[in-house]
Amino acid sequence: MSRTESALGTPFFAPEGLISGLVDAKLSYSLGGEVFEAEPLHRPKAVSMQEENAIDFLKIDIEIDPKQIQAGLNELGLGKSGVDLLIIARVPMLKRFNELLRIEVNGATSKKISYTAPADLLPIVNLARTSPVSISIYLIIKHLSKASIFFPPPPGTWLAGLGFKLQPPHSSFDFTPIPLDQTDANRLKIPLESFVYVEFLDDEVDAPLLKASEVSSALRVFVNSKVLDELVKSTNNQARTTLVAAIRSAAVSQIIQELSTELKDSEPLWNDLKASKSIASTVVEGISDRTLDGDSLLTMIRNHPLRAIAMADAHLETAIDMSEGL
Amino acid sequence: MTKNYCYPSLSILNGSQAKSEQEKAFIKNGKYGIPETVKKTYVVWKGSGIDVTAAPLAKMNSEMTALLNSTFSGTMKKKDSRLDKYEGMAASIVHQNLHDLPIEILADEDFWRYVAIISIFEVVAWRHESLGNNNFGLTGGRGFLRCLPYRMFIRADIAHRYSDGANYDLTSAHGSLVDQWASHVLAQQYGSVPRLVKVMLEHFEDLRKRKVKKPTDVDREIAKELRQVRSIQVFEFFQEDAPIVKIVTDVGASSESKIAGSLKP
Repeated sequence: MSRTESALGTPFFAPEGLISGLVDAKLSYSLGGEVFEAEPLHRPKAVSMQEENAIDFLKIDIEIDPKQIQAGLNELGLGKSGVDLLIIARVPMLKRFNELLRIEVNGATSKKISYTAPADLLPIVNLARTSPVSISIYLIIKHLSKASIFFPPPPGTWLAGLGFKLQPPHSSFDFTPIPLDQTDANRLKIPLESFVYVEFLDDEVDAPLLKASEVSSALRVFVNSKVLDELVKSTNNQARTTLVAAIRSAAVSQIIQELSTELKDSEPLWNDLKASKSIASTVVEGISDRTLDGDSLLTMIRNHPLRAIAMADAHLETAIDMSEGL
Repeated sequence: MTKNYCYPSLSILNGSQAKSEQEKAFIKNGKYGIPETVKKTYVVWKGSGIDVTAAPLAKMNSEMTALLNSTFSGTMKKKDSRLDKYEGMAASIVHQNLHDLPIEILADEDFWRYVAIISIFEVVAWRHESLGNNNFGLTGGRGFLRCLPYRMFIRADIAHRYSDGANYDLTSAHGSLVDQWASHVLAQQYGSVPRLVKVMLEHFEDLRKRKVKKPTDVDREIAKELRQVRSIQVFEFFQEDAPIVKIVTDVGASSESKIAGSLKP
């Protein structure tokens, strides 16, 4: 059953067959002839798209369990017609979505469903080089069930879902949190119960934020493994927003403290730092509320890191996100 | 991939410098507008080949200015309802002129910042007298939703999609207000579903026709509940209005009674 764990079930009362009926999906795409594959999201990670590369082919291979789906349909008294498999691509920046595929699935459907993107979809997918694009696959209830079960899911309810996110690299503070385990806790000399800890990888470079340009080579964000588990399992969007804001705020404040230290040792000018495309420049761009120019902001981070943290929280709307879930 | 076209863009930091140049120009010359030489230091051209945006942006600016001078001339107070009306009407001008541009330009925040700060600075300054940075796209994240030309484009785009490209009626229909578009459409993930936007705006209008108490609070409660519904039901799934009307009516009724309940002593 390990593969079904990647499908998120909704909190609705629904037949088990339908919740576990969407078994797996794999996204494959090619960039200039080289083919890449991606696993669906069940940890907050994403496919990173480089500005200079364009996807010229995209395919989604889905595996379903027709028997399970039919068993679920029977339980709801829906016969053969009751559940659709729907694939949607969303472009949040343009507030647009595209329906890629909508097919009815039941016991007679083949286990493997394959979708190849038509040429006119590729420019939309390629927006991911500058702005995130998500692709979601759902099993969705089509009709109101007449079977008098205790809590019939209304039409439009998704019973299982898998998703992919394509996005540009270096979007501000784009890091993949790592669950903190006992080994890392011992190595880092922090309690296993810690909430968030940012490890700066300064073994090879002195000032990772100023010198490295890839987040993965400069820092790692460890998050309490229980918290991360709950986050992954939670289907409550507002609670997720709150938790993500708390994690982000904690991580950003540690990053600013580190940057403050690094800026004390060398005093770069904003224009040079920006040209270097280091993580430091992404951090500064990401927290600036534009009331200060680049150099003044660097001075503030260097001399008043706590004030810079407060400003970053305000700009990243931490308080708004936190209160939204309550 | 090499593009056979190019377009202008402004990063946040360059944009904020270009904006202060505009403000300086106003103090010095009594009007906005910065010289080409100064512009060059801030504007970055993306791609190579011909600039596909110059002609549509020039036409858009002159149409927006003409509308402003004809229908909306005269000094306005900050809260003048005509400002809201202008935004709804001018949204279609923005969309008509720009929607044929390559989609990657339309999805680039740096382009919209250029539009606000270079192409139509005067219009943005008229609409937002306080010259707030967010109206010029100078804030990242959700703050960007306040960028005037961008938010007008998205508003008209939703209307255009709702009518299958036939018209822009939804931009100004149902007594829709800028605040409702900003908070309950643009800032919400479900705002990408035109059918839902239309039904929701109709409902908001109906609340006011029925003189329901604290309509803004009810709007907010509806938006909050719709966010919860969205985590269970996929709004994009629905191909007709009826099921969405049912959802909004149910959510509307419970929101209304919740707010009414909170008003009782």
